[in-house]
Amino acid sequence: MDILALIIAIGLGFGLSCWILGRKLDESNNIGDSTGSRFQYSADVHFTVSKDRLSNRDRESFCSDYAKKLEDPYPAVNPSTPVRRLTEKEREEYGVSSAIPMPSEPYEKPDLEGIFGPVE
Amino acid sequence: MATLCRNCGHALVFDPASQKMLCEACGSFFEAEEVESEVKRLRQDLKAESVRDVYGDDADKDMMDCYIYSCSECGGEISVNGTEASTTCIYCGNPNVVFSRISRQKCPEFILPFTISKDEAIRLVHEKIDRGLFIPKAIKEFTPDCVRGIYIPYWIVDADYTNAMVISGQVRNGKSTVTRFYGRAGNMRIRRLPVEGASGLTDESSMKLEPFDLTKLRDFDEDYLSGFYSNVSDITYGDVRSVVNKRALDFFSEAAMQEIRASNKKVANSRPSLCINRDMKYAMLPAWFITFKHKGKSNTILVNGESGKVVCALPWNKVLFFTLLVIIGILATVVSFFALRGLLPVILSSRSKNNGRLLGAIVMGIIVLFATGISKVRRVIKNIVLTQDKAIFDFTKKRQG
Repeated sequence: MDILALIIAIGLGFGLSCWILGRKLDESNNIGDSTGSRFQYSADVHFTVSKDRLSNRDRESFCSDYAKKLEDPYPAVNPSTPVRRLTEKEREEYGVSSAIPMPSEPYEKPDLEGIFGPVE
Repeated sequence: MATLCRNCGHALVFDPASQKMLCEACGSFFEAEEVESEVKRLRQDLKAESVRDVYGDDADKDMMDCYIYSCSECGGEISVNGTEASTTCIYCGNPNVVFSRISRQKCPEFILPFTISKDEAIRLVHEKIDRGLFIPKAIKEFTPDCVRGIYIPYWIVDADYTNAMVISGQVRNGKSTVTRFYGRAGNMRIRRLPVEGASGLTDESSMKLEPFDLTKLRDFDEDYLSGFYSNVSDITYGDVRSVVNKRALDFFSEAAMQEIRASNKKVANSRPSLCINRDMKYAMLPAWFITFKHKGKSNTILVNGESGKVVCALPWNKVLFFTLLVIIGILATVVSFFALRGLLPVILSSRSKNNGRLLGAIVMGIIVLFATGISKVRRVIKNIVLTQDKAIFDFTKKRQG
């Protein structure tokens, strides 16, 4: 019994020590290890389909059944082209002059219900 | 070319504390937007000479992507690479903005001026690392090898994103654990996501500088660059797409997983679609790069020039770490042993069905403790590699001045 207690005690003791010091090391030496969260970029996800306990058949077909491909309204661009600002003419052509609010303007949350429809 | 003081003719620099252009010689202050000098017009016509034009075939191969300018203060030679937009004269130390070769389409629309000064940045770094239990004394007392205030080019992106995702997760079913699958389809709209535009920097490092307060962006004026280094964007539409896709997938899966009550959740399958608004806003965002050497390795600490957020992972004192690990381990073992020696006979003699479960839970607990501790240590080591990344060190060090 004592041997079993000792084996478990060593596991618990060194496991606890590893956990405490791992956390302390992270706090001490890993500074600023975070990126902007989705809430900072107003990335509110609007779920249109939520299904739990998918059957094997549903699992295979879920992505193809519910994926919605977004149409790119802009002319195709070569991925290896360097990014540049749009010219005024292009902005007029694409009708995007007011698409992005100026950063100093308050952000208005988009009405996603109206755009994408309700959750199934 | 530098913007010169109206009063004494010395080169002006941008002062983060006052948010004005400062003449360090006579102490005069000017609003950046007010400094409408001929220099700005002259910059438009300023021509650079390529290294090959100046040095002919004798030019070093490594310098082939450099351009040569003359310092407006002392006439000294200023060499900048293909993506730099402002620098400091190596001879007289005066700031020089070389924005002339940048066409309007490549010129930023916005700039977030530095609010953190060089001394403040160093103070913030010391404040953070002085508290570090496992940071070696030599690092705590470091003297910066080089400190560079650099405006990093960013594209501020808006995008729409849809995804249909299958997530696997483990749930308890009676005595056993079963894997279940969950489906989530939906969409989201990302607003003002900053995508770093300098290929010399790793996305992993620059993402950690976030968040920037983009409501403080100002219309771009090259005078803000005075006294700092800056780069222009050199990334492609493919690069932007790949970064936004990855961030959007992370945001979407995070939201989907929050909805699901299970453990060990993983994305089993997904079909994303992304549409980026082509009218991306081009902005310069500020960061301090502080480099120092420790045991022959170069480390680069980043400081967000607007919020003061410090980003780095520093080498650790392994002797102290392992000594404490053993001491705490032995102490906890002794306490656990005496507790278990009293409890185990009681538990095992009760002949209850729960005995096995209790022992199983203890073993699982031990595994979780080890796994969590080791994963934290691995994360630190991974980020130390990032802090010691040669690319980020070169990005800082190669600047003249």
